[in-house]
Amino acid sequence: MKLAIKLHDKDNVATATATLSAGEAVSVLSHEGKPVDQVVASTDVPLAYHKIALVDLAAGELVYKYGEVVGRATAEIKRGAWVHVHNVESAHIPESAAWR
Amino acid sequence: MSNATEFWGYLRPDGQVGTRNHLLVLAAGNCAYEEARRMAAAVPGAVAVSQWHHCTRDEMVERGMIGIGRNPNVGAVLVVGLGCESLTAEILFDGIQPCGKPIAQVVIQEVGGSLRAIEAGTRILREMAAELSRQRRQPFPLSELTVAVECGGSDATSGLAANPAVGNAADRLVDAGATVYFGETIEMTGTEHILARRAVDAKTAQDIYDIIQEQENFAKASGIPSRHIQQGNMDGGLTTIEEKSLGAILKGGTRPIQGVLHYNRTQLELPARPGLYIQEGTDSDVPSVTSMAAAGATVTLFTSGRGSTTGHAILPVIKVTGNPATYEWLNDNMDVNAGKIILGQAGITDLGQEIYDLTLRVASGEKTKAEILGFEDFLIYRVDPVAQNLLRRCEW
Repeated sequence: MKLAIKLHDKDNVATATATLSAGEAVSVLSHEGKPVDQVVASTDVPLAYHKIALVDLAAGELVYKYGEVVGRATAEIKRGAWVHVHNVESAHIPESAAWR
Repeated sequence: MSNATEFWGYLRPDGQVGTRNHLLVLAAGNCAYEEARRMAAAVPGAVAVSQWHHCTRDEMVERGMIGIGRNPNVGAVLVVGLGCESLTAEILFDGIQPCGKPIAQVVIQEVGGSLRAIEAGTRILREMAAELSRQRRQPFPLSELTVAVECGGSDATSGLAANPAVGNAADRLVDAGATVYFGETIEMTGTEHILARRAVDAKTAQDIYDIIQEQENFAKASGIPSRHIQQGNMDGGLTTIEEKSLGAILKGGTRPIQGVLHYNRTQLELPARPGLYIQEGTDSDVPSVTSMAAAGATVTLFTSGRGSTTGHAILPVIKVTGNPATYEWLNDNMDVNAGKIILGQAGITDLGQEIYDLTLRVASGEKTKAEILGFEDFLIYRVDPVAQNLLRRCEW
């Protein structure tokens, strides 16, 4: 089975190590290399090392990878769907230098 | 979890500990490099380096070269000058000498040309090599070890396997009492709020914002849209600038950031205590490693997806690739196969332990592939003073 890596417990996306076709099952590994989930691709993922959603995301929800926010959903994203520039944008707002 | 907590190093007169015992021939400028290179070639084990900026007295180049001479991986130094340069052999000699290691200088115009200089220098190196061969390694705690973390030739596996694995090793090193540096400020764009959150105090948090802002200003002045990512990044699966930068900063691990080590036209800072540090500065991999060496790093962990082959003149460089194909195809250059993570054959934590163990063995004398091949990469980083002065007069 093809693999995807979930880099942090808090993440709601995983990175697939190969291209995926809709309907294909993927084994999701933790940072310890242990299987933690199995997801069926709900869309094609046409390039290797791209992200798939591990949960259903509503438009506006934050996307977590490395346990940190890497963007914000701009459309509804179903579990198993390709997550990229067509449905996620930067959530980074230049902040003031406030500490903690 | 992480078992070994000591390494075997060389104690220097100033109390610093090196992982290597290099005999360094330091040409003050490129106009003395030909002679320096020939001196080093006559004494196996000696290494000649120079700086390629100007023979004018540039403060940043001067600090960098002195920092390299003082690095504890250097057992003895021969400084070589031409004689008419402004950044003289004597300036470097005076900057390095207080650390107490054997040091000498040869000035080509004073001794009467290239051949006399090469003879004089070679004789000095012969004496120094004999002295260094009498020194022995001793066991030291990891509080005496400083590890530089770097990446170059990244690909889609870097942020997924190699950088997280090296970051896991960096956490183990810091937890065991070592010091870890990471740099290349421009690659932190979009993650300043995450790095600042890990700062141990408000000054460090502010320093993090300031150095990243300054690099962004440089990027803007160069016409580079620093908060955008390239098509190649997007094809590789990166969606936003913060995702790209998170993958890069992860090689430094997740521990609290003890401070920013400034390296610019007015200072070259060294850490006051062990732990994780960001070094100010940006450039490509070799100058970045050289900058961290100038601030006292003695081992480098270097991640590369595409397969960078660089080593370093005075630091052992451990190459970690997250790409299993690169590990096979560039096996002459890659030390660690973090591609096992991509194949589902190992976890990031397994590789972190493997890299930690290898780091301590290399610190104790085991040779990296770049060292076995004798690679001597070296470039001193310099910020263009004209550009910096102009930028600081502008509002961005």
